[in-house]
Amino acid sequence: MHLNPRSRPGFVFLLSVLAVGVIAAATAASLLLLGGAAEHTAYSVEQSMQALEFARSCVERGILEARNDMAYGGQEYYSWPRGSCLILPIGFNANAENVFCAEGRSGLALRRLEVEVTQLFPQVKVRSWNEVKTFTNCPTT
Amino acid sequence: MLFAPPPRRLPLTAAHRRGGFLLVEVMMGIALFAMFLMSAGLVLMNGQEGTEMAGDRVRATFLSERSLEATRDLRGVNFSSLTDGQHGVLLGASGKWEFAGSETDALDGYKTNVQISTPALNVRRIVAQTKWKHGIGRSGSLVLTSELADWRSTCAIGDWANLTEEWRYAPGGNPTLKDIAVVEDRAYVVSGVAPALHILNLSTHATSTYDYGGLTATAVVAKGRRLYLLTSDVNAELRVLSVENLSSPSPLNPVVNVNIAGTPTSLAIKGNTLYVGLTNSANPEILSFNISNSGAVTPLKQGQLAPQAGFDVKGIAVAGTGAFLALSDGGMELGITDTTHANLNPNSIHNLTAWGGDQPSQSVAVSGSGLLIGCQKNAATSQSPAWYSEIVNGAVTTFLRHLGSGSITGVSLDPHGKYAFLAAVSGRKALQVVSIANFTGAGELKSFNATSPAVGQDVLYDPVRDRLYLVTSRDVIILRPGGASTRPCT
Repeated sequence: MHLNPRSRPGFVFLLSVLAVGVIAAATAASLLLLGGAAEHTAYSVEQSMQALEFARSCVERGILEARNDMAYGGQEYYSWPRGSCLILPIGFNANAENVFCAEGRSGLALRRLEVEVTQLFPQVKVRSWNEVKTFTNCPTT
Repeated sequence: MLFAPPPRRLPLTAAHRRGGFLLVEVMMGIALFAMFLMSAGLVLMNGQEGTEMAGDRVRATFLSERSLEATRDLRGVNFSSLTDGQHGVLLGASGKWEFAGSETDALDGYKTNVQISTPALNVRRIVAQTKWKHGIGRSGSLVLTSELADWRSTCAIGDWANLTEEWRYAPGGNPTLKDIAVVEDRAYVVSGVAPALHILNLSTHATSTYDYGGLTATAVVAKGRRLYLLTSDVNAELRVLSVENLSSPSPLNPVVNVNIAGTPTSLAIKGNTLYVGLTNSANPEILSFNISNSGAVTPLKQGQLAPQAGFDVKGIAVAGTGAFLALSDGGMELGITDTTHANLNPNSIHNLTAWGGDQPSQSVAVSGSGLLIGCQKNAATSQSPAWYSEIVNGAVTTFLRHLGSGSITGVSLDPHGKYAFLAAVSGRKALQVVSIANFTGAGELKSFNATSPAVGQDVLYDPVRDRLYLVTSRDVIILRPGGASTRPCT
């Protein structure tokens, strides 16, 4: 059946309203989603930063413990209300090289640090302090 | 025509017919459109608000992170400046971070503070909180937590040219004490007669023993809360003890039968690898085990230093990728193996005769870039050479020789590179303290005699406490440097 718009006077207007409405709704939904995504990103940034801080905390604790205990072996777990960190096994080695590997978690964020220490006494000497994707000098968990 | 026909009614147009409907349609359209606009506007505002709130959160995250970094910077200057309580952090006039007040106001409505607490000795917990309020519905707070430890301090070393006996553990009889390892504040000393293990509390000086089913032991190393012992059980020489409870060791299974012709004699740990040196074995002379799995000991590699002769490996020290072996062979006193090689192949075997030595090595130690070797006494000259060398890129450089007394079965280095400590199998000068700066000359700074009939066996320098543990055949003597009596790391 052929519909002549002239015979349906409200048709054009209705279509226009619907079209504009759909576009407006799509725009609004997009903005809503963008806002939600921005919020999600903000939380991710926060969690990621927090995970890195937890990893740093583990390295700090690990180096301190290695200076307090001649047989310190790492493999320790610390937790806080908003996350945790794990320091992987190390071998205290007569004031020679030690590698401290630590991973911090907060929410879904995971950050890893690998820190090479060339001596613990009389003063700690750090050769490198790197964030890594995967550990290369420590066994993976 | 009196009557004109009535005028004919013109037919109504569509517009005339639907005039009311058009108005309704317009009204409905406007209403509908207004509803769309309103909802779209609301959603738009909501989306924008979400974006703005996200921006607030990101900004607060970076402000909190900046506060943590500032606190970390302050720690670098002086750890004791991190006092418990709430602080504001700001950049001072001198361009350095400093604590000021209890809160820092950013210009754009954010307020940040750091709360410092002490969860453990020499550890500070830093909670950086940022709060913001931008009108109705745009307020919030965010917290980042971190911990800082006091590991940047420099540990002092006392004057070891003037040592003092601090405490002596003498269990009585002839326990034939051999070797020592320290875990936290406990020293574990292995004995050539049962009970195999003597446990010394270095803080309270309380002591106890652990009888390992009548076994005896000759060597011990520690990693974490695990002790690795070489015992007298020829079918299971290598044993692992858990010291989760520091005062009550408990055996872990499986025990390991090294299962190699020869006698396991020396132990060393680097990372997750345990090295065992063998004597009376032509091949292999060194073994390695994976100890990454807590309590488990898995064979890794076997190494042979030289196919033509079986060296006795009396001592092992590991630094970098090299294992430095004290070889009981007058012709070849030092072996260096590549621990990364599949067969622990030797990088080099050194004959110290070129430097004026010909005595078999008995012990070896590394600390930082220093290598120290103790040798057997020369019967003809009654002198015992000790050798010191720097390690550069995994290789030894020039050897310095010190002529000590008695067969040097134990050596230790202080990490400051000032002193070498030698334990000799003799009562007189059971301990000799030698200046590394004057190693070849009259380097002996101080000696310490064992109480007859005890003879020196091993020595261990403890950089954590700046103490020296001298193990003789009959007792353990804890020595401190002249004057020093406090913890050296400040």
